[in-house]
Amino acid sequence: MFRSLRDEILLTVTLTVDGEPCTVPVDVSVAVALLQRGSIARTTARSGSARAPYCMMGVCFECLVEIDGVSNRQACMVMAEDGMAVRSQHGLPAGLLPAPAELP
Amino acid sequence: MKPEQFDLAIIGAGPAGMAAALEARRQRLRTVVLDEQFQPGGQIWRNVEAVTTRRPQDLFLLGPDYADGYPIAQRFRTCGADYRPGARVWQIEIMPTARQAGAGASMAMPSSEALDTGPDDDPQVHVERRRTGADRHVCYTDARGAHRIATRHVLIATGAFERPMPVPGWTLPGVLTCGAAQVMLKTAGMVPRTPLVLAGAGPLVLLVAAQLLRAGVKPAAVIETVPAANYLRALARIGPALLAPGYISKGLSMIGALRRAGVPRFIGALDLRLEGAGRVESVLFRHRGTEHRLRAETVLLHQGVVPNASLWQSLGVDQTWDAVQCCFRPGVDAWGNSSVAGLLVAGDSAGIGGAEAALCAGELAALSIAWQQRRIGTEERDRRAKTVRRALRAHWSARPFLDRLYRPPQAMRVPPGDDTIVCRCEEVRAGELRELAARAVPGPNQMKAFSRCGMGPCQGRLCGLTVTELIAQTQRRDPGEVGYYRVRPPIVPVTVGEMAALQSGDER
Repeated sequence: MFRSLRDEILLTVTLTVDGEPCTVPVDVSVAVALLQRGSIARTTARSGSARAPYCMMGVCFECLVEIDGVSNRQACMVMAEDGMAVRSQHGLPAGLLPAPAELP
Repeated sequence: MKPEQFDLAIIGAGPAGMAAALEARRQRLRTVVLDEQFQPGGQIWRNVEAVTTRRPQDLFLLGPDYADGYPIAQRFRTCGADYRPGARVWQIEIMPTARQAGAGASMAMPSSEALDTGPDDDPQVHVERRRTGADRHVCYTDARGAHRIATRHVLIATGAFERPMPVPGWTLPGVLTCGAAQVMLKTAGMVPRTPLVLAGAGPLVLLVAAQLLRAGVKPAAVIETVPAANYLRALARIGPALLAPGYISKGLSMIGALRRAGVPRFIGALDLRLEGAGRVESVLFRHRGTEHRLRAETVLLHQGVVPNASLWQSLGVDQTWDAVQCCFRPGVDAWGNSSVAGLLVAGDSAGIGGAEAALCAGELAALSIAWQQRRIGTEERDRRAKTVRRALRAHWSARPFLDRLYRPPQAMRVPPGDDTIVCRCEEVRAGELRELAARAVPGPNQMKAFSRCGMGPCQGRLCGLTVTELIAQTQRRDPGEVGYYRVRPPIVPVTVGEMAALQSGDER
């Protein structure tokens, strides 16, 4: 979805996204890595539709990912670090879908 | 464990927060600044220190208004405020003692420095000038865990975020906000892949298009979703705006850049929708009776910004509906004092005025706080404020024009199509909400209970205003009377473990 303006970036960090290595400039958020790869962050718990970073400033919560084993982290609010393991999140386990309330 | 004590806690290190900190330190207030980003500057000057020092060649892309942030950030760094980056505030507590006079007995006040001139009541401000204790607690989380600090005054300077733009397909990957593209440019030196389409309305659409052009990225089109009638309504207010420093000329120069580059602008476009399988592939709209379909790899949406209100709303600050800016703003006096004692709101969080106005508002708030804490007398406060207010008025004078020109039409604020998603998190669509509203659901909170709208991870930030206006429209009521979701802490995620550590006092 996004590309770097320059071919050569001096300072970088390398993390993995769903097991694949991804190299980004230093001092950027994990969401930058997702947008550089063009990958989604998660699928929704309601319909399973794909979501990717949207606001990049901590407001929309679309970029929730698992980072180093901790789920539901906002990728745009966590700085990318060398060796970080990022995984996309996928919906809710079957049977846990929330049922909307009914009007009386 | 006794929390750390401050005279003033500022939430947000954007223009308003930094200006307030500079003035507060001039008056020697013990000031802490909590900001969720990792460098000062807010969103407008996001990453300005790193760009200026490490990739100054990008300053040309971002423009002079961005570069202006650097000297302010530098002064802020050295002003003596306790700046805590990467700190996300999730709750402000007003301790019960706050309501008792003289509750600040535990505060060690440097009495020799404290001035005591003038009367304690000021007809122009609705605040009591009395010594209050550090009885407002601010809870925040950073990389090390949860913390709580105590303070006498709190200034909320949390800025703005982009107004929700609920059009069909706005949840597709590859669709981002214009602000998000700016964050990518400022923090990572990255640009959207083409074909790129920008859609919506507002100064930021033009600014991002101009910045991307300078970066060598040519948008396939800029689709402007405000009706042509807005231009007429705005023209009636252009007089004062022409006198405001730079606003109109900047706009015209950005429009000129788009024209020279041959980027088509579709003004008054209707029926905007985005389509694609798993990610955005096309942008569809109607312009002067003709259907258009553009191929797109990336789409940037924007229709203005609205106050980032969660924090002051969570404290029950009085709010009013601004029918021109189509958002809620807190009831504050000319200094930023809210209806909650010891709590002030400044900058875009109190109503959209832009960065320059926010600098002024931050300074005024700090002057009022210094006065309330008897660091300056009434005369000095008013003398200092006079110059600031003059500048503030000049910046505000552009607003009536800008607000009317870029006011999104109702169809862009409340989706007319029943299938359009309003609540992105819980995927609640306009049709379902309209049906509930027609069955006399009294307000946003009941709407939430019945439909789950606003119950997802974003806590209603991206559907709240739409839901308010949808109920108002369906029930023919005033949005101000319909109200907003009841916002409750924690307003950003915090783990139970972090909260528990705070309660048992083993933080840090």
